[in-house]
Amino acid sequence: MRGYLKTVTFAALSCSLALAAGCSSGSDGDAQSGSGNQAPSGGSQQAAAGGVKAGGFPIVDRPITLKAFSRKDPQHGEYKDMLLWKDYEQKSGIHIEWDTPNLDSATERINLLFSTQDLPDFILKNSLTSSQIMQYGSQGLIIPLEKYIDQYAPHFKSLLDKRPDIKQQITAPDGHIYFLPSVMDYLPSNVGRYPLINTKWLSKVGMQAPTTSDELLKVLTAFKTQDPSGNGENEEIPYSAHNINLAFQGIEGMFGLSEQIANFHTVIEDGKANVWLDDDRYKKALEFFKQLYDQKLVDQEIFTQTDKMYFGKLADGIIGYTPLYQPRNAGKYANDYDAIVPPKGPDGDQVWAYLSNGVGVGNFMITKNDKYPEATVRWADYFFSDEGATAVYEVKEGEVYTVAADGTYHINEDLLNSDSGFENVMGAKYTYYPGGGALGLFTEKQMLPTMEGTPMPTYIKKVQDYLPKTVYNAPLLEADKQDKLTDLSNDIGKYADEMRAKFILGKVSFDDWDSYVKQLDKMGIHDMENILSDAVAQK
Amino acid sequence: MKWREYTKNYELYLMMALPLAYYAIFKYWPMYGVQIAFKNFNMAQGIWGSPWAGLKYFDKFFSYYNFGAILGNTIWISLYAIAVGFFFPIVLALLLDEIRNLHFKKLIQNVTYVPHFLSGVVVVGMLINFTSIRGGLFNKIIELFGGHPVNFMIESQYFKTMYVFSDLWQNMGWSAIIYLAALTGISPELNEAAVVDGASRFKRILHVKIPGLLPTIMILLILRVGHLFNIGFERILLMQNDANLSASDVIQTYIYRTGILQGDFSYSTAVSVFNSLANFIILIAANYLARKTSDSSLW
Repeated sequence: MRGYLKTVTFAALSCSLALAAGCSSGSDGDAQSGSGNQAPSGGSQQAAAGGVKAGGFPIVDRPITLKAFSRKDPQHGEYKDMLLWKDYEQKSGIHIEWDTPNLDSATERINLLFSTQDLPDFILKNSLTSSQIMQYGSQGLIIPLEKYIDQYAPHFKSLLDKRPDIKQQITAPDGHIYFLPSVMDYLPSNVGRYPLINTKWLSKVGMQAPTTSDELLKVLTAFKTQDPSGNGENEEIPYSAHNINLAFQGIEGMFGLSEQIANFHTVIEDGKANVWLDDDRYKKALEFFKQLYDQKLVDQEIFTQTDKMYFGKLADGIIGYTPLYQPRNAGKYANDYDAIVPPKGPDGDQVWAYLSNGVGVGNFMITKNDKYPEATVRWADYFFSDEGATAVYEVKEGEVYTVAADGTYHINEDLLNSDSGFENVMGAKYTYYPGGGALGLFTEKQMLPTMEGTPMPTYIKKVQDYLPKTVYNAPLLEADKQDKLTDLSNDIGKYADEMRAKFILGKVSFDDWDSYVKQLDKMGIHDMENILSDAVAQK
Repeated sequence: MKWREYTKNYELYLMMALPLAYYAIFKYWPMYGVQIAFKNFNMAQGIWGSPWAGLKYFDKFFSYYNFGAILGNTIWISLYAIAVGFFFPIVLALLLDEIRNLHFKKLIQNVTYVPHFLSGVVVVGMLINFTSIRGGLFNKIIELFGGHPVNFMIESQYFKTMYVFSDLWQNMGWSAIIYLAALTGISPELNEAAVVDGASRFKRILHVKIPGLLPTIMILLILRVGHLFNIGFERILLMQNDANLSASDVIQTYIYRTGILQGDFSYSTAVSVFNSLANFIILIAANYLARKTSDSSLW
């Protein structure tokens, strides 16, 4: 699925990248004048011209227009039609012109916009990775924000004062802050997936929720062989997930592995980063996964599955055990699923590996093209206030939610139980948070109402003792280190993905494990570990 | 004197100006950007201002651990596609040419070239559905004959065949059109003379029609070989997954990953330059060979 739209937009470019690069030549002149590492020095005067006020709303004396880039997730309608932005435009006096390519082509589009210097004024919704932020930041294409934060971002500043760890995480090695994060201060929302099992099937096969990997194997086998759906067909898929990555992540914890640095298959041990792709525990996990695959207990389409196919299977009620965030996604079978305590592995490891650290990367950046950085920062700071955060998740009192006597928020039932899905309705007309990465500081107050009517808030009790201790984002590094790490992790990641498939499918035997490890060594997995260890030590 | 000739025929020059402008703007001007293959491209400094890097990026590509594999895949898929995709349209055209019933002929022609208008995304979507291990058409047929279902999309040994034959299915009818046109260009007298001499249908195809088609075939073959390193990139990308990567990763998908997704423009341009150079050399070689061995060549 990832790729459908990508391909359409890319078709025109496929013949020659030189063409794409060539487009930028026209703007060389002003590119050079804009280079250098600081924001335009006349910043405050320019903003005075824009009429930014130090506090209160509207933000500006007379209306201004800013160009913004964000991505359109599958749940989203047009940004300009979202009630959140319409309301906020009235309040702030800032009109936004949106450029919002689909999720699939967003990376492509933002890279091309940067390479052709056709920049928006600001960028939302983690559209840039750590390495891109460092690259564009060091080239002066996105501007440092720290000098605006003191004066124009009171809410964000007080957050940084309260949570110095956040400041540490978002500060680049050159001392600059290039982006504002999304901060999720509510643990249940930071666990990306929960171990959900089909309880109806469990009682049908007369078994308890599995507590160990052996029991898990038995339960999944029973799901496969005893026709728990009771329709006489062998259509049951004992274990499935969105794709191979998420499916494997649901298994690796039983072998003591987790993702303590986002995207790097890394655990932190004795303060050192261990990229476990060459670890014996990984080998054991792979062998276990292969066993599941060979016995057809894992979805046989796991290597080619798209999100759509996965959700289709959920809606058909043919999946037994799966890592999933929202049981609502299972449609009419939603109530069949319940979270279990993550099973214990053969060596006693019991980790649930889906945890993000709650501080997003690259959720809001200002480019050098922005004539009103002060006003833009103030625009963003609103979402770090209680009122702004609520506007993102609950949008508007009366229309979307009501406030109960005890001060809690309650989203209208017809939205929560909408046939087309709650997040789809919210994304279509109201707000841009579905899909994740919304800017702001969000707490239980905002998050709990979105879970109303689901058992989600109770799930956390099942997994909270088994989450990794700390989880780091991909580090922000100096440009040359960042380049090195990107190269290493791209090559190693691709090779490891390919080999994982080969081991699981039996195309490569585990007898060849040593040569696989040797190849990783040759490709520099230890250099990668050193870079990551240094980054962790500095945190 | 000379000038008069230009002004006299100004309409012709005016008409030529458009294609010239097209080539200048879309083909030659972008070559200015090729220099970033030799530079540490920095977006803020632009193409001209970025510092030189020498052959660093070419080095990086040649020492890429999978260089041999992606080069091999590119060449093999391409040769396979040429062998199959070139042969069948010629056969189809010859067969169509033999059909007497005009309505039937038109019907077949339409049926075979309609798939050409489908987008690659749709074709791959169909392919994925047909080859699905959960009730896909192909597996239903295999099971009907008592075989075991095969998960085609993750078996790397089937990748090239699936790619080449889905391409054939889509483009066979379209590619046959040019041969049909060439066949109508063969003088009917030759054919009649052969009939008078008592040549069978098959002999007529062998000794009249195929020789008549040969110049067209040669030119198209040379042009096709000149694109040896460029293959149907989007369909390959869509069909790619971790499990078949060893058979499906080609130079162009690699360029896409490094250039567009990772934003490493200098590196991907270097790979692209290598790709174009290789194509260029092969085109010249193919043309040289064609000139030596037959009468038809591009120049």
